[in-house]
Amino acid sequence: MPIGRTWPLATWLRDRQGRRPIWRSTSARFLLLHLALAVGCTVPALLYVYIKTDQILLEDFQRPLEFRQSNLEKQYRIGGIDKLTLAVTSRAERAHRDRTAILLVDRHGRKLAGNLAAWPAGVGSPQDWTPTMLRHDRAAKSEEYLTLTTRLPTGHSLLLGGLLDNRVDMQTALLRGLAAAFALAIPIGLLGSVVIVHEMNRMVQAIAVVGHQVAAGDLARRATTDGSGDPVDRLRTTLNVMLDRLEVLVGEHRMLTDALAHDLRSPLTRIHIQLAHAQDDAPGLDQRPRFRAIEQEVELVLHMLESALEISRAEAGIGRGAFEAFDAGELLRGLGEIYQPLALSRTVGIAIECASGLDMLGDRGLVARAVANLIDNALKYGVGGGEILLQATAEGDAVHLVVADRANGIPADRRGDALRKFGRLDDARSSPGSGLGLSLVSAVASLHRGTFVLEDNHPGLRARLILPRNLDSSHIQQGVPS
Amino acid sequence: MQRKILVVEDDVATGTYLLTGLQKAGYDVEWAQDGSGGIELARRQDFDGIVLDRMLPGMDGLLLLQTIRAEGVNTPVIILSAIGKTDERVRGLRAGSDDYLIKPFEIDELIARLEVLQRRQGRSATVVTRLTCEDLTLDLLASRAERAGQVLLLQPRARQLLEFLMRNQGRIVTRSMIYEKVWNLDFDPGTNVIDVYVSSLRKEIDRPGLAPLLQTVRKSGYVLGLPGNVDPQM
Repeated sequence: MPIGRTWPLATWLRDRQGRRPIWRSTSARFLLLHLALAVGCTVPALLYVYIKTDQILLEDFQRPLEFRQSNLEKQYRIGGIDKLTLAVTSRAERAHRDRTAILLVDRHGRKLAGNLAAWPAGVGSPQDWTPTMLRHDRAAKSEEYLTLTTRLPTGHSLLLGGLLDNRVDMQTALLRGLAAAFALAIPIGLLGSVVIVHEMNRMVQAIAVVGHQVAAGDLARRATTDGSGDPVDRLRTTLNVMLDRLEVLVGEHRMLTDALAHDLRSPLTRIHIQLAHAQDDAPGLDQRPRFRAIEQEVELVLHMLESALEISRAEAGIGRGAFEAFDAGELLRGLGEIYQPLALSRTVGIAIECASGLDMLGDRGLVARAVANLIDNALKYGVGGGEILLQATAEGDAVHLVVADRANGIPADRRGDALRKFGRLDDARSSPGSGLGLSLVSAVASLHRGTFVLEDNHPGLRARLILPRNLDSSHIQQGVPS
Repeated sequence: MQRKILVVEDDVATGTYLLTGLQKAGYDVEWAQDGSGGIELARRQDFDGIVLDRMLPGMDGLLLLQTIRAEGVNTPVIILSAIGKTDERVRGLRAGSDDYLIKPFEIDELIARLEVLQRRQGRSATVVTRLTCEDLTLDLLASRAERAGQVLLLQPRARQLLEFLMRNQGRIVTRSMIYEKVWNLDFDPGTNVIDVYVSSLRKEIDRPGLAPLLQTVRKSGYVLGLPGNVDPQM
């Protein structure tokens, strides 16, 4: 992923091309979770407001009704059922003014006084304040009343209710207000979620940038910690500890390979020197081929050691700090020119197709060695089938370096073996070579974060080295130990 | 006057090989077997060249080089290293070396490189636009080569090779030096391309009736110049 000072969310959305569905991404799940939590917290709060408001409303209705009920009970205590009947009759006559429903029935449910035709079905006695649908004598339809029923010691039942005429309107207004609040909570929650996800992505992006820079070879790069000890800070600290360890391991690896190179090459150098001295001492003519054979074996071991070290260092990513700009097309043309005489001596032609301006950032020497190995292989195993093609093209942000022959090729199931270290195929064992040539090409691809593939050339083998051009300035020498 | 070379090498066999080979080539050689001894000798600044091993006991060769360069010692330095990796070569050049030779090496290769460095050291800073060797001339601006008044037909790469040989005329240039300077390669690909180009160059330069200028030095390389004018130290 390109690193730069871009809006992280925009970068994230752009980089989603060809990846998992957006709703399965961590950011989307986090965003939805946060939104669900925000909505989940809002709904109970709104319900509480609704219920509480309705409760207060009912209590407001209840208060004058309780006063009237108290007066009726007082009449009953003073004058018994007769006095109460008169009071209920009086109250019923005035009921149209204060919108009261009132009814007194005997123990058999027969009406004694009130403005209701009969005791409403389903209403018990006694019963605490309850909203109930009632229809009084003068009403055309049932309406909702807040109702209290009382059973008197004489077995009579008294019903007193107040019309809840404003409650429905207030409930409707309240519901509309709460619905508006809920509707507003969704975009606000979404906005909050986006801001939080953006902030989270920004922090993760900053950590990813560090990882990317380290992967590019800047082993000294570390994430900035704020000392807060929160999970993100702990993640940065853990990353830094890991990078410290990585730097130590790479340093040790470098020391080990350097020491190995020195300690193994030094005795080989001494053998080489002794051979030179021995040859200077003019051995007999019959001994010279032996000396030459020993010299060739020493050179082969040195070559293998050099290749093994190159592979090891390239696989460890050592050397990215020394990347330089060069023209891959010019490199391939030069190598084609170098191998042309050798190819002609083997009666095979080399065709070169190079696009112009194939500038890239990399280790020119190693890329040259890798391509030279491929051409060398094509000349060893690919002659007899026709021309060898060297091709350099730009594909997107990468350079493709292709060496293709028209010989027998390698079966698809054996190509993996050809890439293994010392993985020489059976028909290659009889010819000289280290068995490290293609491994080195693979390691060079890995060093450049590219790929190396062996393809069928129908017929023959097409070796394709794909190297990112890395012309982004963030890849240019960034303080790798030098 | 006999030229002086400082060898800083801890390995006795390699040191002896260097000492013997350089003395045989006519150099006065002083040999330091560790970094601190090397620094002390290098500070005297009376050497024509320093041959420095990359890995020394007690002090890294690059650190030694950085130290003497910081002190103003500008004697040409060739690093000898068992590590042939390109980035190591770059590190060596960044530290202030003038050339980099990978072990094992032929003594002739080292001597040829020392000669080139000393020639470069003694050369004036003026830009050369025309090279001459006997009756052979190469006009660098016009990319035109002539021998005895006759224009030579040269491919661009052959002209580059000729320029390199003319700049180092009278001295041996080795195959690895040619790969480095003409083809920009830091390894020997093991092909006969140099022989092919030298052969075609020779056909153009050394036409029948003219004194041969392009000499092959067995097991070493090539030298441009009349046989009598070749550096006797080689």
